Amino acid sequence: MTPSLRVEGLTKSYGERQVLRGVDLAVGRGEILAILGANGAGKTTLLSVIAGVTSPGAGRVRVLGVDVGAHPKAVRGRIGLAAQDTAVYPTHTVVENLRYFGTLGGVRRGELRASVEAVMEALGLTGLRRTLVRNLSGGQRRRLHAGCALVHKPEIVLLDEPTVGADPETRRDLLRLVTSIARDGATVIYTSHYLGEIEELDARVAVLCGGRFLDEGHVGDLVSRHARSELVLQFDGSPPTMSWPGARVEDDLLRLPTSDPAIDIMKAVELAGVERDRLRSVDISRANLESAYFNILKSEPGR
Amino acid sequence: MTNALSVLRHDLIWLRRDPVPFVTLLLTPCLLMSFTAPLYAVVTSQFGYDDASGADLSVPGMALMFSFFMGGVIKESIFREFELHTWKRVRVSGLSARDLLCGKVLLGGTLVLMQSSVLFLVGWLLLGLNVRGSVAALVVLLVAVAACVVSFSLALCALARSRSQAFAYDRVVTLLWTVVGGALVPIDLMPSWVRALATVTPVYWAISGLREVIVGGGDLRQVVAPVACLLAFSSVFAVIAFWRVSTKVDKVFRS
Repeated sequence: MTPSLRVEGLTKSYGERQVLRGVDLAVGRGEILAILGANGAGKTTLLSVIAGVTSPGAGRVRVLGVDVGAHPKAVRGRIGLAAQDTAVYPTHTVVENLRYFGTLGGVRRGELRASVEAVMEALGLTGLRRTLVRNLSGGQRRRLHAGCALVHKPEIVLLDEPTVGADPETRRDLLRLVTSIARDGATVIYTSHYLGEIEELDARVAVLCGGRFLDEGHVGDLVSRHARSELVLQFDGSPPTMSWPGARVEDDLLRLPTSDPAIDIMKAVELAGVERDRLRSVDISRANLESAYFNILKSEPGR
Repeated sequence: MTNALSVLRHDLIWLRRDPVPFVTLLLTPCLLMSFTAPLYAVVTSQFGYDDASGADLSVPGMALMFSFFMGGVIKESIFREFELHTWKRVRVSGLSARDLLCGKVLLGGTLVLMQSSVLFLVGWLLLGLNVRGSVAALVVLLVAVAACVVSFSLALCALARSRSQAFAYDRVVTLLWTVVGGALVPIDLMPSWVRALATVTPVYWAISGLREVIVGGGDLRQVVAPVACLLAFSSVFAVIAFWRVSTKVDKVFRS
């Protein structure tokens, strides 16, 4: 199957600073790709190049089979971009903003009303339809910002940290909407620093560092490749030395890697032997995307 | 064109919600016209316009000066797109830079023509303005002025590096043009070097045409040269604007 989005050998520099260093990527229809990376890793630049609003240094971006560099106009309107900065008109109402971007995105007059209503419904903005944006809260503006990227039903959706500054309810609604539009066939590229969101989306994840991808795979694959659960033992005083593969002491806590915490917890207590009297607590630190992410970044030399 | 009309409708909503800039650019020239009309009335014969009223000189001059100030609304609407981060979003939505700027051109043209209409109407109803020539010629001139104002504003936006730069250049150039071009004081009263300089300003051609129609009783034939010159200025400004948009603004946007 031809991917909806294919990026090949993409590079981009701002002056002396190289932001993207040969990025390759393929994302299929209905797939959610989450791009993780520290600030300055190149996430926003990558999204801007894909959207056709930033020219690449070298390489090629094909969106829905069209070369974005050669035919940027051909793909605009088929892409929805919610950039990091909230981009809505404060002097207009919620419905006026959505109608405007829907019209520019090519939604036919007869379908515009239904499309606007659907987005407002999905993002909990229906009751605010006639409210001027300048009177909305920050979270409500973020919802509208995301809605403006989706109102023309784009086939490729680029969401750059859409939940920054959003309250838990807004975040939940946005994640539901992202899952829903992917289920309907849209290709979604999603960046975020909230790793819990990525786990919730069950997305394919690509870790960007220094302008290139270090690893990629589904959340479960990355976690199994790069992270392990640990038993965390706290003692009165310094932790004792324990014969356990991979055991390490960090912040006066003894960390024991485990693949089966339920069984290993008893082994660990047993191994503590005479030191058991000093044992204050045993916790399980489950392997998750966060630990996998940090381990991937640690593996990058020079960091 | 449909997209440009969408931009126009969208910006008109903005102006409806925040009408202060437009209203002040209507009220201020009305006040200045009413203050200056009696002054001009005293000196019309010295200017060589024996039959003219004070309003016949003050109304076209103020209308011209403030039409160029009205161009500030276009600049405001363009810089606003950058400040609200909506320029990028609008472009990704499928609108070309040219469509977006055409929407702004329609906005500017509409506002300048509305302003001129109101000022000439106020001049006629309240201040004794008497258009002796063809009203059609007057309308054609005012449309040419609107084209010049809009293209000049776009060129300034494209050339300036910031909103404050654009407005600073605008104030300086508009005031110089207005004075040197003879909108406030007839050009015949100025030194010869100023008279030579005047012909390279659009205001000179605009005011010449307006006086020809208002005081001289001219018709469409008499305004051919002024209109042609105004359209020539407009073309130069438009070429600069669209060239800079494609080479600078769009490059910055796409870099």
